[in-house]
Amino acid sequence: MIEKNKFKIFDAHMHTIGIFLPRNMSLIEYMDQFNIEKAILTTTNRAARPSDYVDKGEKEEEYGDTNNKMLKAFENYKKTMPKGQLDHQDVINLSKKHPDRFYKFFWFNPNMSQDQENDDYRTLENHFDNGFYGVKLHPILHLIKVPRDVLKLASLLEERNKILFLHSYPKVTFFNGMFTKDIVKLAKSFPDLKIIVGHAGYAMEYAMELGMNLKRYENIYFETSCSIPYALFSLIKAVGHERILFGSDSPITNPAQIEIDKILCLPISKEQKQDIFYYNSEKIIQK
Amino acid sequence: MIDGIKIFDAHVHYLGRFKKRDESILEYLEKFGIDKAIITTINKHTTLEKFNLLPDESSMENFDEAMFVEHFGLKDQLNHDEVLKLVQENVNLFGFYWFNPKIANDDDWKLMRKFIKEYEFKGVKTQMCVDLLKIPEDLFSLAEFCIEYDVPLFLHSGAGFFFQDAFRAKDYFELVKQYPELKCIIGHAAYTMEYMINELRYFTKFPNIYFETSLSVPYGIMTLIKIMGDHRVMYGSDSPSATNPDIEISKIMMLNLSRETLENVFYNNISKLIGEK
Repeated sequence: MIEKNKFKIFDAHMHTIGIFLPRNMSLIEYMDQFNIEKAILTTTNRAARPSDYVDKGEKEEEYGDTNNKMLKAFENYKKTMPKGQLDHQDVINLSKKHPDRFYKFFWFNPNMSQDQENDDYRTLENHFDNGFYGVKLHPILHLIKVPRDVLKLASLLEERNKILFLHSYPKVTFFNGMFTKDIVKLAKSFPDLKIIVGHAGYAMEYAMELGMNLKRYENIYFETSCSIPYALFSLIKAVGHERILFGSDSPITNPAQIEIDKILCLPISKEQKQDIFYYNSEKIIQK
Repeated sequence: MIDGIKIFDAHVHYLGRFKKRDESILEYLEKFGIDKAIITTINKHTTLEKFNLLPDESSMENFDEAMFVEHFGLKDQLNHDEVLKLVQENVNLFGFYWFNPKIANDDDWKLMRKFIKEYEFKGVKTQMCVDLLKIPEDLFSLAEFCIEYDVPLFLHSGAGFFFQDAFRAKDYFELVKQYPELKCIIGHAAYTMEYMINELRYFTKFPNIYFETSLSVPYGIMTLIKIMGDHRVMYGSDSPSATNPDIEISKIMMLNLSRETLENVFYNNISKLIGEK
């Protein structure tokens, strides 16, 4: 039995399913275990399976050919990118059942053909009309450059007062990372767009840069899932605790408890912890 | 020991923000049930306070490696006296020597050799990000050193600062394919899912490459254990500088692994790698 955390929690990053959700448990029951009262909820990319990337059966002599390996890695990676938009019926169903607990976000793929563009944006607008609060972007999964490939989307979100959640990631073999300077450009171009930078403390150097480059942009918020505690502490020192939002990325990549513990262990006051766990997210949703 | 499983932490620093000032590192480790640990020094130059004093965004466009060096003053090797003292006084602590090959002179190499041969330090740690190393070219001599003394080389993973290249699995692959006998530990091995996925692509067939779990995503750790095997993944915490060990231990404990796997990940793998008697 998990000992209940005493802080009330608004989780700024949850998915509908994941390997850390026990089979016989609903998402609401899962949240109740951890005192998670509310959550920003999005769907799950069911096509992503890490085992697809494994080097299967290449001959020894192929080790030397790095370019060949890169091509194969990229080919395998492309399999995990669903064409078009993900279905969000799971998000809609859960939110309908528990309207006071979930804030729906649409996981959007802006990397579409011109023919598809109107349809995809219409789909997105329909979801906004049906109560979606924002968009989650996964730049590496959809191979999009920020801000270049998201200008139309950012403009729409700003106009409709919706939130943009940006997933952070490092530079990998076949795709450059999203740098803090890229987020600066986006924040400058769209000063009224509320942007949440996800996994904001995933590496020490990234968190330090975020703090340094983005502290002056008050439309930027920082979400804590998959982060290093010391990196979060560094961000808090740089931008203040009011712009830090607790997120777990559960039940996909983490059990929620681990992400909660990362905030609990920080050398900050109880009041600051409560703000990070709940009130900061509540404020940005209500703005 | 936790639930009857012995814990050997493969990544500990002698100092850090998460240890109380009046607490010794031994008391700290004992508090979290850690039986043994690989211990190294800490970089006191790249502090948070110094970083927050960096030029504002308008100057960032021109910020480069030279300015970084000037600001943080990383001109010498790190001091290991405290670590040596701890290792000599405690049989359950094993030293790793943090070395920056980019700025090393002959005396630096000599001193490291002394720590390995005479003081029986068990491995060499590198930190690509703050030591501004380029992979693989800055690590060739160090790889040869580690092979000569039969000690593992610890490779730090990270995103890199904006003025640096990131440390990609591909770059480490370029190093290890030239030195198949080199034993490497890739630290923070699943610090993001994307990075871990690249490791799967490059290192499945390199039995000398081990994966250390500190600051990793639990789903990434589980995938590494499943695909690389439980004999190549080892628990580490990077405490007390980056986090506390209980968080890092929980990430593995809650993966529903067999007892045998837990024993390998938490103790046996690092113990065997450093040739513990």
